[in-house]
Amino acid sequence: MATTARWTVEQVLALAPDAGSVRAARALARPGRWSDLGSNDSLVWGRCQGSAREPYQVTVDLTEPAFRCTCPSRKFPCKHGVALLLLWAGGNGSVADAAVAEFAAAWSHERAERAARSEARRQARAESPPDPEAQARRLAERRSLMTAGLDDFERWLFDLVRQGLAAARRQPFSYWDTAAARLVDAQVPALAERVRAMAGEIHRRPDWPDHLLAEAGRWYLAVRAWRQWDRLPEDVAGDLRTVLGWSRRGDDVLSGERIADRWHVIGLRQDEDERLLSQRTWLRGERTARTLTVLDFATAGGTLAVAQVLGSIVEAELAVYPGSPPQRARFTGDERVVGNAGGLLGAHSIAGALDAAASCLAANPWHYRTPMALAQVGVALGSNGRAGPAAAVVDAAGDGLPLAADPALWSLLALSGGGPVDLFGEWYDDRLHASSVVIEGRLVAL
Amino acid sequence: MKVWEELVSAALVGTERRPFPLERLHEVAGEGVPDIAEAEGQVLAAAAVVDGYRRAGRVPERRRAGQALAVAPPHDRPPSSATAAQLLALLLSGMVGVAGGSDALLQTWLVACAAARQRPPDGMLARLLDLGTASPRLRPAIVAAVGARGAWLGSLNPQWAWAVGAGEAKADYATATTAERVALLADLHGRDRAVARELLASTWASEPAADRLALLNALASGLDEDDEPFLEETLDDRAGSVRAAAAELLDRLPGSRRAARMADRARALVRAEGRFRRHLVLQLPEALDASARRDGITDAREKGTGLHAAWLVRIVASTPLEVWEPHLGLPPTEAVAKAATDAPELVAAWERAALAQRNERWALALLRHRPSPALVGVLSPPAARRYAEEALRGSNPPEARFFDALAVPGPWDAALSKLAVERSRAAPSASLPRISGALAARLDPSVLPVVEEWIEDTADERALRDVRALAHALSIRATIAQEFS
Repeated sequence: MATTARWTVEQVLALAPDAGSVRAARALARPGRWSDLGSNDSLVWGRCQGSAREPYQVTVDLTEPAFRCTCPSRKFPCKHGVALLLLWAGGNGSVADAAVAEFAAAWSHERAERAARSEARRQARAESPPDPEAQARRLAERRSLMTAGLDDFERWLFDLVRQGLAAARRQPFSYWDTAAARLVDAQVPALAERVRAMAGEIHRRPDWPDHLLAEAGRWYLAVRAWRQWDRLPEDVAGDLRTVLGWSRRGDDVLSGERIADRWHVIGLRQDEDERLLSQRTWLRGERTARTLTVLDFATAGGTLAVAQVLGSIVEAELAVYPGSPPQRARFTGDERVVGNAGGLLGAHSIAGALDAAASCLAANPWHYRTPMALAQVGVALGSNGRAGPAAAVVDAAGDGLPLAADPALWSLLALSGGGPVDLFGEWYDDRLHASSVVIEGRLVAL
Repeated sequence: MKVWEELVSAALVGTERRPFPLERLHEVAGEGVPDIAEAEGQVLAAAAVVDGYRRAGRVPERRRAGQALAVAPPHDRPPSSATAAQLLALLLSGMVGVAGGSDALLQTWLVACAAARQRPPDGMLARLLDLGTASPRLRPAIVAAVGARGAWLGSLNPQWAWAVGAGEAKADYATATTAERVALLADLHGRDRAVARELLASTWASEPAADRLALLNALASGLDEDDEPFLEETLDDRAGSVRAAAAELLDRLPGSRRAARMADRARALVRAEGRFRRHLVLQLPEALDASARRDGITDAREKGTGLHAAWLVRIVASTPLEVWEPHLGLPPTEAVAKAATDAPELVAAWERAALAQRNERWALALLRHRPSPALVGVLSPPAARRYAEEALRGSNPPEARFFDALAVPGPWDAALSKLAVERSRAAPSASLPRISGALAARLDPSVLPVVEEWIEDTADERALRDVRALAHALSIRATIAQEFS
């Protein structure tokens, strides 16, 4: 491999997941905090003394780039990774070329082995000519497994409605878990996850009867739709695949529809539950006016792909998953950051945003999260003059939407002083979950 | 939507008991409902269709009359520098390994920010206010730093009510919960005592005993003679716990009527006798009258102390220290020296009195007798500095004196700081975590080069970590000072 030129500080900072990480990393980028610093053509490594007793072992593989750190942070890359690259990029001699440290070598070796295995698999696939017969047989097997599982699930749903939702609420956790496990066996994991989540939701939500009935209706709709699989239009089939959790091969998506545009990164959200980290990157096309979402997942404790920087403009061709809007997409590998957006693209009135949400629902009955870019909204307070659960965003026309009472609400108030501001958020569960806001001509994460 | 509610109530009890009439659905949904044989399937399909209508038909809420828009007052000061903001983010992240913990440095940052008439970045206000809710000790510094926007946020979030200025707090007091009242009162009493007293009186009579106790204790900071009439009255409270708390607060007011009564009792019990008043003689009280009981003298005592001796200690501890010099004819230093040999319980009682009354002269006399970091806290800054220097200069001072010196609050001047570092380098490494924590909050950043020498001369891994953490804290404090200069 050719000797890698050291990156610029800007290139390093573009990898940081948010402004807070940039600040934290800058503060950590002092040689005094580090030991065992070193680099070679493809790796940079070092140990950083953090709050734990043992220093964190930090390694960056420059070729991708890929990050590895033993700290407990869920941010990706974590501030240690960014700080290490800052030191390296600074080129003041603190990160010199050196023999690779043992922990860095071990990780690099692991990665290389993993890559070799998946490359071998890929080659095996490519070399052995696809056997159409075997493929068709596997597909038929999977479909009959799914059909049997969904037939079984229909009987379970009928029992639920016959015995009543009130009775279901008294069932133990295993009632939901068993049903979910059978759906996993039937290879419809996303549906299984929704059934499992209901076990908690019916005790958490004050509107649980409405929620359970509406969800059960949508589950049943999925069962009915599956029976017409061969007759479904491509986008409906795409939506149904998402509901069921029948994932597509990345290669299939890449060979499908592609959209090239200057994509504005208008929202970033990370969620986690005990098993999964997920990250949604909301993109808005400058020329196409399309809103797409890039999803990344990692198992808990694993590492998420590096997100694009909020507020940046990325010139890229995106491969779009079949389905109705807002569609899922993935980058095709040619993306590059070309600038910073001065604000929020495609902001609407609240009435306009709700119309768009209705169109999403009309196309896709399972539609859940609607991205909303709202123009010039203020915050209305509850009748007691306080924010919290009664707070709402209000636009110039006097229309309002209830806001989720989460930490983002308080950041929004602190940053905007009440507004009016351009705001991006996700609309679901009858609340707007604010995610980013334009302050002094810059899109800022909440 | 009525048909949805009908569907939900049918589904709640189950179609077994309450079938849902499909005709009802057709009225609303028309041909949108598929033809399904099973009753359960009909209800589920209907739920999917009607819920789709419900969600797609969502219309914006109209702002209700009287529903106010959030409008922050204009910023009353400029934002801090980008470097200062980065430092604050670093300190708030809690991931910084500095001696003494990040709270002390946060305090330094906030005080410097307020003194420079600047404000933290808006994006960090919520985190600062959450921090103040969790750590009441940081609240005064946070309130001073966050400015108008922070106070405004406090008015919107009940958990941040402590950040609201006095005027607005007054309006909310009557309807606040007890915990909120205690927080408001404690905060206010440090800043505007008259308002605090007025608020306390406004609901006092109707509060239950536990709440009266909590509210009374909220007065502890910033207590002054104007609180005396209320406390004297409270000695007659219905609840014993409230009476005891009032007595304890009155211990801090040597000008109170109760203190005068205690002085009368004490003078009869302690005398100097012999030629040149050579001996201190104690006479234990034989019984307590009703007035003494009312003044809060109880039978509580430490193990090994007799009941009558405990009464005596309690009386002396509540007696104004000014009484003793004229009464005994001895200055404090001599009185303490004689008591140390003749009547050790007297020394303990005087220590309690000096702490409660914050009497510097007596604190110095008592410190000469034996070290006590608590008594150091009573000293005024110049006296404390003198005391620290003496404690550090003494050749090979005993450990206790050294920790007395570390109890002197910062910031220290460069000379004292240098002395402290030199003395600390000789300290055993086991006490280093404690020492470096105290030094981090006190040393003048100009001694950083001396600390760096110390790092170079340190071989032990654990000691090295403590000294590095100290250097890191000092460099952060130097940056704070520079960014707000």
